[in-house]
Amino acid sequence: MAFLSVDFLLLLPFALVLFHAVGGPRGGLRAPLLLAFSVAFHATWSVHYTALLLGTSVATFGIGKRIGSEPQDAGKWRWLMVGLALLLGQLALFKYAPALSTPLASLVAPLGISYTTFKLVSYLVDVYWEKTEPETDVVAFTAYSLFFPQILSGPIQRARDFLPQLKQPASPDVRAERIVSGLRWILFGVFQKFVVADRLAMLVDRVFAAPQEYSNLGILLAVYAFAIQLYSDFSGLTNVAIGLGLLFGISSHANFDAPFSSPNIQEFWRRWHMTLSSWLTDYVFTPLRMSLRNYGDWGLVLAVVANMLAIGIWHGASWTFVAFGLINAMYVSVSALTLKARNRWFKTRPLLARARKLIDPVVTFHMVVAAFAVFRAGSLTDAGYILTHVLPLDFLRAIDSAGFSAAATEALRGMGLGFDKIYLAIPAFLLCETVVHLHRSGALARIAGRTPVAIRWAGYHGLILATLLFGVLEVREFIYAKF
Amino acid sequence: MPSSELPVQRVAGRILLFCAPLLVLGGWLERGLAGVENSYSAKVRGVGAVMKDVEVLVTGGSGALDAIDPSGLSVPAYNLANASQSLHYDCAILSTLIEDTPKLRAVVIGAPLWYLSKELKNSPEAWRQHFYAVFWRVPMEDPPKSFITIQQHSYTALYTPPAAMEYAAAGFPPIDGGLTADGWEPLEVPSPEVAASGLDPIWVRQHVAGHLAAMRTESEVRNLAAVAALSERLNERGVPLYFGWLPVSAGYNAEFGPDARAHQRQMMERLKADSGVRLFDYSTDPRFSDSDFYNADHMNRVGAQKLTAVLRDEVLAPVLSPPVLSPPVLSPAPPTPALE
Repeated sequence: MAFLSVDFLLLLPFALVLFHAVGGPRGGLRAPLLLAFSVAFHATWSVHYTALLLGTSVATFGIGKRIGSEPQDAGKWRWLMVGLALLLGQLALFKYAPALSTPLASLVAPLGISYTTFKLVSYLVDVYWEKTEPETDVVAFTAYSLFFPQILSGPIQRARDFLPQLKQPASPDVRAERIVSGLRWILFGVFQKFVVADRLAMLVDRVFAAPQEYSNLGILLAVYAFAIQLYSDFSGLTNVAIGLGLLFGISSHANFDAPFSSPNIQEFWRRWHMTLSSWLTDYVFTPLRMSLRNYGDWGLVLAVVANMLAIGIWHGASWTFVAFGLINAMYVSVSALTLKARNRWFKTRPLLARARKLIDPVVTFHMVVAAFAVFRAGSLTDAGYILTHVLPLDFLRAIDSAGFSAAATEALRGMGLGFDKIYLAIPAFLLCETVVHLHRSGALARIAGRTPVAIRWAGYHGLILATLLFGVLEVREFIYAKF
Repeated sequence: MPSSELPVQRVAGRILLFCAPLLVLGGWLERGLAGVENSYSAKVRGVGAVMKDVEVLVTGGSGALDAIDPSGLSVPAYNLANASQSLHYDCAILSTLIEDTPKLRAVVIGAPLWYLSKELKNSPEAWRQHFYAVFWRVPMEDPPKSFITIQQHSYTALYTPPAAMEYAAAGFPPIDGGLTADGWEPLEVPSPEVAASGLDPIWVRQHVAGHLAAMRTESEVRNLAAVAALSERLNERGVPLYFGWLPVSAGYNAEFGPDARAHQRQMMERLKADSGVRLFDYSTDPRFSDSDFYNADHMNRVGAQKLTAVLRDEVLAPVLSPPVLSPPVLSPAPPTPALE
């Protein structure tokens, strides 16, 4: 069953009524119910894989208890290694074996294996580091690891954040407030997905499938479109996931924080897929940085390369993902190593420093767009072709000889900008970004607080109708659901 | 009252209140759309009205929809063809009608050249499958894997919300494409500009390329089995099944190519040998010229009437009683080698 499918949307109210009606004031049946919903959701994809993830969760629960009960560090370490080998081995088997081994080529990764693994690894390491107590309730723990709203693309919530919310539910007032808030998150996420991401997908899919068949201007538009599509698709999905979590009384961290207005690449990665970035920072980058601290800048660069390569390779066994990781490693390393010097230089030039505030986000955005083009390309050859054909010089020459209208018509031929109404995605994206920035500054809450209910509701009704009228409503796979 | 003071039950009540205008709008759309006559509902109603008397049923894709005028067959006849229709739906619809058409004497499937290799589910118009499920109550070629198929329970979802709003704004007009009472969609003789664009070599090349790309071996297996099963049921009643190629422009024939044509021909011969299907072929008939076409593979009103007369006199005459006595409307026909 897909998120945002009619099946899901029709079954959700029944699950919610049941959950809030019989969940009980002290948690009662909340954990078993959530586990049952999650198992049912997974089972609509594959019963066998549901059993596998359930077994992995129970095994991790047991290993966590062993780590907690071992008196010696060596014993704790041994059990941690057993747990990590199980979890990471399983992830590697499903993600890379199909590409590396012919007999396993038909192996399909279970839905949500990445995000379940991230959650379980963080739990084991936190227990080992004594940041969290080993969990004693296997049902609650399994409900955490398989929590269905977060299974496709996070956010990656830590056990120490999730389990207390499940066991000690908030007051009815807070639960009610979360339901309202959850519905807003879902509405916004659905709009991002259907109106922005899926409309742009029509252009992106065409051009990236055969970039050689399109003009430089067409390639340039598709490269920008993909960055916006990926952001809208991914943040739309996680916004829906956050909203669904809130409907079931679980609050989680945001996953995006206006990343396209980041002033530098480090800041971009702090605002993009934030729960994965913070997971990698805690469990990969910081331990590596600490162990390489004696190597100065080279240690930093090595830690950054390992971190970014992990992000790239996690997406799958493809050279474009490796290249994506390396490009970002280069970006982050150069930016981190030069940041202090750049700041000093600008400090003495106030006029340029003011201009920098405007220019830096633009530069960072274009660096990200270029890296995402490599990420999306079908092969390294395609990536090379795309990056060497984004400057629309041919278009400028054509304007010179044939005039703007004829040149634009020819350059954009076959891209569907008109008949697929792809242009509708642009105002929709700008609207989303405005909402994100207003939310970020706190202005959205202030405006909402001052606006009469009737007008607020009219706005929500308008958003729902706009999604129905301008959205691409055939259910497309979420881009990040496959990772 | 600040939202933080709202209990869960009150929130549920407010959600229902919030949804009320949307439910009213949805209900109004559903009611209006239920009365919209489309080509599917029109054909269900149209054939239902003549079922007890109909003697010839014609079916096929848009080529047959436009090219065969049942009123020209001189006996009660009905055209069941529809845009992008595939053999799966031809056979499924005919199967539902066989028992209720006591006077049926012949069934004609007017096919484009690629018909035996085509399925609707592989085409950009796969959405039409829901219309067959809703109006004809026949199973889809490609049933969705979901538990609930919203298009089969909501007209707004079936037509899509933007189209539903558009029809609502226009007062829910009929959208049956101007069908006649016996299911034919006459296409006007196009203006010289329209005719030129419909026969434009580049357009024809792209059009045929789309057809060739959508041909599937697995579709052929299913299509041959469906036609064979239909033929068997018709044979039990002594009703012959005619399957044949409709006229297409010379440009279309050239682009389709001899190999693809030979492959299709081979499958047709199998149908003839194994299931007793009777074949006809007007795809290269020199009696039809560019002026008979609306575009490369659709006939205009004049071409359709010409073809209908030819079908009546050359294909259906042996089974129609009393014998067709109307004078020939064409100059003497040259031999058509594939014609039975």
